[in-house]
Amino acid sequence: MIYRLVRALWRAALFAFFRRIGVQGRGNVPARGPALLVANHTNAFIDGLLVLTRLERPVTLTVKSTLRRNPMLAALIRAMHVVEFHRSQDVGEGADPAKNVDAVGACAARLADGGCIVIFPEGVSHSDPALRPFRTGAARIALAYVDAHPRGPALALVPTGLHFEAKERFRSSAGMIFGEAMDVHAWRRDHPGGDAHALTEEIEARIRGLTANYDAEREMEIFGRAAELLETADDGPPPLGQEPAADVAARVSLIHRLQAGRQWLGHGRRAELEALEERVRGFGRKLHRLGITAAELFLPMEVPRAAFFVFREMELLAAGSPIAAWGWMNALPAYAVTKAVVMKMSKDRDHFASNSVFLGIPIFLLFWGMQIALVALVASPLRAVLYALSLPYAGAVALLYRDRAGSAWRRARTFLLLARRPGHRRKLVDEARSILADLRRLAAEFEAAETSNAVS
Amino acid sequence: MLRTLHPADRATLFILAVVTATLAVAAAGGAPVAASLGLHAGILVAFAGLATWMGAREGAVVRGIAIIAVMFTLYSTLGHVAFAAVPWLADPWLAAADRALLLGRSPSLVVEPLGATRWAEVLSFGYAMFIPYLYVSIVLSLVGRPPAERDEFVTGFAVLYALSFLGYLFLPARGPVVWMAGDFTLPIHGGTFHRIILKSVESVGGPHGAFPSLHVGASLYATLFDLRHRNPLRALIYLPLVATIALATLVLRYHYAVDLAAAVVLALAASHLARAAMARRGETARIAAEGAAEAAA
Repeated sequence: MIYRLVRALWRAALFAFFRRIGVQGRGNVPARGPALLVANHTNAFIDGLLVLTRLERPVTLTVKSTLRRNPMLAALIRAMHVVEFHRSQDVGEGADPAKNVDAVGACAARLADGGCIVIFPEGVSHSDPALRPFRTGAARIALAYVDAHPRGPALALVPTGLHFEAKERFRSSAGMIFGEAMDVHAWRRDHPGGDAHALTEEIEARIRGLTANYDAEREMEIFGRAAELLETADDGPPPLGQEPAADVAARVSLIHRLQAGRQWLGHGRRAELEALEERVRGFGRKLHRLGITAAELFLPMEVPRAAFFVFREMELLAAGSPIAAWGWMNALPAYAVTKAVVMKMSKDRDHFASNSVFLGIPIFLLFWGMQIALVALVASPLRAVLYALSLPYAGAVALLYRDRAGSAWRRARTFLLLARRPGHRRKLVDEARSILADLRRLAAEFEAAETSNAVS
Repeated sequence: MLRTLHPADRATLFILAVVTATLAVAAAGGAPVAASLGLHAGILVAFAGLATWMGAREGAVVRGIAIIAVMFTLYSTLGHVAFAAVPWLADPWLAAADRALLLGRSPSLVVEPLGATRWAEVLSFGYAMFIPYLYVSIVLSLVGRPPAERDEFVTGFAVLYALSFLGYLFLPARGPVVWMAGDFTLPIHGGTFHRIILKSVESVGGPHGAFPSLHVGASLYATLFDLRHRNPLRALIYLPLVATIALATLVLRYHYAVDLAAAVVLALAASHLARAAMARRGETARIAAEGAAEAAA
């Protein structure tokens, strides 16, 4: 009961913070039976909450032991039966790594009861462009369970890739990919001498396949720009409100392909590679200066379509404005306080979303509670009930309205910008198509080289 | 032949065939419906021709326009002809079912005091907004949509109206405003919007077709469609309008509460059936494409 209530609150908070949360491969998580979800760790508490709120089955979180020092979190840890791990780097803050034997035992026992656990083997949340070295905790839990229950039930180890568009930005997007489940009993049979280190390597390889990892921040920009261009595929952006769910798995796979291609091109055709990278980077800078994306460059410029766009957006925004205004008006005090507190408390990019979600819930409940009490005092209990019902509803409308109005404004601005400078647009489109043609030519060459390598 | 037709066309042909057959039986029994029989038979033949010509073509805008035109025509022709074609009146049954819902009290009489306040005008405004909401929803569902979504909307729309017209035809009722006129003691405290509604109802020959409420069914269906097709904002914005329309139909005495309940069930069913029909069509097309590819290989 408490678990469901807290999960519902977290779901609401994540709905408020993220504009979109895409989930792929949910079917890879078994509906029942022992399951160990192993994920990359890039957004502090949010990582665990994302997994917990996107699955219907109860999920046990694992956290660092130092969180218990916060009384509010300590209560949550108790209520949600969270398993605490003592990290060696937290010894100065009272952590006792010797207790991790108990933590691993507790996790194995939870799995034996058919539970589902999520764990982050990197051990620390970070903003690095690539995965950090994995610790062996996840593998030790899995092997402890398998060794204690050699005849099953089978343990499904599900590698999970978590992705954030811009984790420090309110109303950005998040995505998660549940990879193919790995049967740890089968792995044990196939690797009789395999220890926790060997299993950790296997897990790391699988998570690497579900995440985009770069050698440096600079690489992120180039691959991001190239992937965006390839995804655009000469086509305009979908109409607002009809955007398909983000295909994070396809984006990751494309990045991996680009990385492999870059490596191939780097052997012997270095100059060509550098020239192409410079073109991609230069093109990206031009788009950045205009404040548009590659897809927006291919925005349809026909007047009837633009007129229909105006009709559709005006209808929605005009009809929704009173409700959105009501929602914003009533959420503003709580929102302003949450924002101020979060800005003060967030010391790096990792903390912003977590603090927003964790602090936002009590602050909003407190403010809305006071507002409802005030209405009950000055009006009537019936009006207070109606007012209370209107708060989450109008709040949700206000958030979605903000997103839609922002997108509509951006699209209108882009249209006017490109319509005013048709020659400039044509040049940019030609440049985009030329880069795309080169990327596709190289992709075909790379594929041919791969095929001939495979044959020989 | 029928299997190759689009599901939306099948639903439309079904209701046209039922209406025509019912009128034919009524005309044979001496009911004065010969002119209506001719009109509906003509629509049936014309639509059958159009459906055959369109075949199973995906996302045809002309299909959407044709089906909506047929359904709106039936909406205005069917209400009155049903009273002539069917030798019973459903008002007493619907009123009794309504009282059973509230353990002996009529919901229409329970909300009567609300109609005598200024809220009647607010509700009239909501009721009047049904037409612009429905028309804009239709336009937004037919234009600028992927063909599969357009087809789904049209299919659900056809299913909803076809099922609702079965109620209009076989359970003809004029609603509390006529049947319970003597039970109401308070006049409706309406203003400009209420007058507009009264005039528009009069212009189609007075109240008819109470069961189920297509005002509630069609507006809820449009909202559900938005909700299912990545437009939760529009669905959320118009949800209060749907609730207002539902309350207005009751307070303005055009519908029984059971009409609203039936409308909600039908809107949900139409939404579900349309989705299922489209999924089935997609699967069939996939299997056919795979078969063709295998044959080509």
